[in-house]
Amino acid sequence: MKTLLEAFRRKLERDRSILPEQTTLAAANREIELLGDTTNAPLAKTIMGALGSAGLIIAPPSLPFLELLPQRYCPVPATLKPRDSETRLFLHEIPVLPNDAPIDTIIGLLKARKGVLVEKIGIIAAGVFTLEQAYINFSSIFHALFIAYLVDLLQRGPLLPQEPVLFSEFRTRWLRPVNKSDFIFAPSIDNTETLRSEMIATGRYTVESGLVDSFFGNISALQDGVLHISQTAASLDELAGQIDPVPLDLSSTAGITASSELAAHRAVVDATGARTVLHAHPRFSVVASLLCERTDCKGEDCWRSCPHERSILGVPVISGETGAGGLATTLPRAMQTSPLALVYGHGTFATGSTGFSEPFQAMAEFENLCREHYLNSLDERWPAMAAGD
Amino acid sequence: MTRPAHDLLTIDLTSGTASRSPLNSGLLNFWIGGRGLAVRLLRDHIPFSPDYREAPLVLTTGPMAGSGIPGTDRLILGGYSPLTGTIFTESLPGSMAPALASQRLIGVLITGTSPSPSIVRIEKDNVIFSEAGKLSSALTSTIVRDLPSAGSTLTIGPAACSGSLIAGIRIDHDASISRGGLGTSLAAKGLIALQIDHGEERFPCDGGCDDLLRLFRASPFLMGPFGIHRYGTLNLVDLIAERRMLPADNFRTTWRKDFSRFDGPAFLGDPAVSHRSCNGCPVGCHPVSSGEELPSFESAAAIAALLPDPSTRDIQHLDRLCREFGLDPISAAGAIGCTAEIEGRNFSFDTIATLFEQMAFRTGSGGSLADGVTRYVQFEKKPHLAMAVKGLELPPYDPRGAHGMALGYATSTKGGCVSQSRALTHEILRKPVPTDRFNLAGKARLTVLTENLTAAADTLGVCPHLLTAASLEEYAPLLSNQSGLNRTPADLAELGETIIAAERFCNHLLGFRPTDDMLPHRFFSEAGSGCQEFPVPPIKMTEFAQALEDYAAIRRLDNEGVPLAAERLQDLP
Repeated sequence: MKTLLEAFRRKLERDRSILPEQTTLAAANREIELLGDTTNAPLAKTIMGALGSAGLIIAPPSLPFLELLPQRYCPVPATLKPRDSETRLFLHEIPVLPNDAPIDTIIGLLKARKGVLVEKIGIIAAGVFTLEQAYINFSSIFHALFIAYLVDLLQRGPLLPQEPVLFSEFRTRWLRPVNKSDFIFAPSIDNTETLRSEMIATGRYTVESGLVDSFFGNISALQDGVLHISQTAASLDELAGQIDPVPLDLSSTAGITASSELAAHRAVVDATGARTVLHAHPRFSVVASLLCERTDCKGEDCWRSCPHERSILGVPVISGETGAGGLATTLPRAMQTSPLALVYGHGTFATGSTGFSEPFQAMAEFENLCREHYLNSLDERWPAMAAGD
Repeated sequence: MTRPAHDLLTIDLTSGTASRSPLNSGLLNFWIGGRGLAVRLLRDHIPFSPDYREAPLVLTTGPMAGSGIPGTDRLILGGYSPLTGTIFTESLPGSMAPALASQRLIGVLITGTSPSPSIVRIEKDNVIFSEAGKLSSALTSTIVRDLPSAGSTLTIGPAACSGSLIAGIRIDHDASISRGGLGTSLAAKGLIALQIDHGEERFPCDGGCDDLLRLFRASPFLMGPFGIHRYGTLNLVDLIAERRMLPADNFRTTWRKDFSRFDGPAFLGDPAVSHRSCNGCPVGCHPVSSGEELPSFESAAAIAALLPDPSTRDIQHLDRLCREFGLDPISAAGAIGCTAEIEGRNFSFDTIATLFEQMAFRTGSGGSLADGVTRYVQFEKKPHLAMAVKGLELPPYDPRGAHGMALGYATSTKGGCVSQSRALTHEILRKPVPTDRFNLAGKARLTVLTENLTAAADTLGVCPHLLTAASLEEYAPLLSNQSGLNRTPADLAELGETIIAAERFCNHLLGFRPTDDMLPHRFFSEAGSGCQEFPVPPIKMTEFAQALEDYAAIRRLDNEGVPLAAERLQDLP
């Protein structure tokens, strides 16, 4: 159990989503075992005992402005419903509580939802079945809060006195451009063995460069009528043994375990002739997709169906949800004219004709441009943020 | 808020009478419906004599039945299994749960014994008893076809009427036959068919299903390109084969190179295949070809395991025989597979068809198999060759390829069942997160948690297929909206734990002990059919024993297997 706890603490550190010295992880089989900050150990044990869950993470998010979100909307307790796809599909909502919330209240909310945000304590995320679930839920909440804060900040500006300073620290210390040059790609992928090793390497690069948390995102490559694709729930940075070969002639249904975006990947390679497809959730790209300037739109469900043609920095922005009847319908059309497409609230898809260098570089470049665009827009609209005061 | 369907109909077959009364609200609010209610009702009637005629049978629905909320129309059939001797509940698809709800019934309790084979029809304000006449011992589809009135119909077939302990019940023209021999219990009570008129009452939900529908659409298993919406559960054949878990030769092998002859694409070669859905469900996981529902994975793979030269046509024919005879195909195939090993030979398609008929009518050499593999091997003095747990023949998922599933087989309160622990979902389908199928670490707690959640979901009448995508987190608010019962997912899991405790307590009173939580020795001593990429070694007994010990500790079972939670059962409604 200790090995498992340490492995997930390392993942959270690699994701830069936690303050390691203030993080508590807990896992249970026959007994509850803890790792990390002992301050929250009693809280962790009480919560685990009450929920009967297998895993728990208690950690203040590494970006302190995330805890300011509740104060920007309304007094706590509150419920946040960020507009990113991870919230929409899995989290549904994020309950928020004040620091002095009774433990029974925290437990009551964790009985109903995957995680909560408690002021001055941080994100408390539970995993019903495994510690990995707690990690996924924590990462999703961090991602959702990150997106929600940036969107709201640009739209309404700083509302609290400490925000400019905190955001300035975020800019100078946490934020960094996506590294797209330190990775080595094979010049071509002309056999299955090379193809798979490139998928494994590219998946790792995508996570290491911060374009996606390891649980999300997916990747595929076409070879001789077989689409090799990451499995559903695969960690993108640990793809060895987690790639499914899916024959495009539907002669086998073993691909049930393929990514939930299989239909979209297949439709894109069919429509575009691309050999490789990479999908990730780069945060500034996602933020950009949510910042629609239209004020007269009568659309009711931007995730499923957008009545307008949108683009950001030349990249088409489309609607479409994961799975049946969604992205597999909207994505191929957009990617026939662009090797990069941005999905509302969700992330980017990028294609390559020879290997993975093209989609990775395109995705990283676009994320850097979106980041620059966001920061420039923020400074222009809200000068106090530029000055950091 | 008063739940619309809250009455229990008690049928006394001895006197040919029925009485209807609202269930005590405290009892209903605690046990909610479905499996919880079934177990609660059955607990009052533990059969201390081996004569299962005395024990009642129950049919219960979840509290959202008939509402149109996707996947909440499962019927729970409950009783004491003449095959396993355990308390036994089955979650069954079909039209019966919404039919009951339309009559404002949450359950039917069947007691007594009819003096002659009979048929009972439930209508609004009326219960009609009639003689079965020439329909007793008729084929199941004949009964459904020849009943004078329309409605949702539960039938038994010739296998039950001949007293086969592996006889099940069938609902309408559905593919599935229930397990555990409850069809025989019904036959012993003299009830050939139960029909429920579809009443006028409807209790539609007012929306709020978007979260559910989104998850279904995103689920590879449900609505992906290879999902059950297209292939039914036949989509599992290729995957289970590739995982080296597809048994044949009485679980001596776990792979065969011709599995693609009976996989999903092979069965769906017919372009005229259509799909049937349960009430309100967008998935539609019942593929229909030429007017007949295709077999499930479990039936198809169990039957294919007997055939040296399988074809979809042969498998469909043999599956059809089981449906018409009312014979559980998994148990029937398991018994024949064992015979084949004992006799050292394979059987032809014709011989298997003959054996199925003989099992159904208790004639010829097949007659000795009619009571399942465990009794057969005792007669043959080869108990180690029965691939069963607590007397229930194992479905065609080899446990050496999924150790959590192995643990779940052993701990299941009804015997060799894959659905109570739901290990298939995380070890094979990778949902909600993948777990290492060759590792027992952490699986004890996982098994306890998933058993509790399954019991809770069965209580809500939720379809187990949909739980590969959704969870109680999505169903709990719908439960509240529809019935006024405010329960969090954790509350429901706690109820699930109480249900399992009640089942284990009943089984203890029926003579079951911790040593009954075990797998056949084959799985600890013989390897499966591995491949170059990975071997399939025997399960390590020491690790398995430790996992069982951990399970008992986490479930708080005493040395006799009695849950500590059983102490408070008497204090509950």
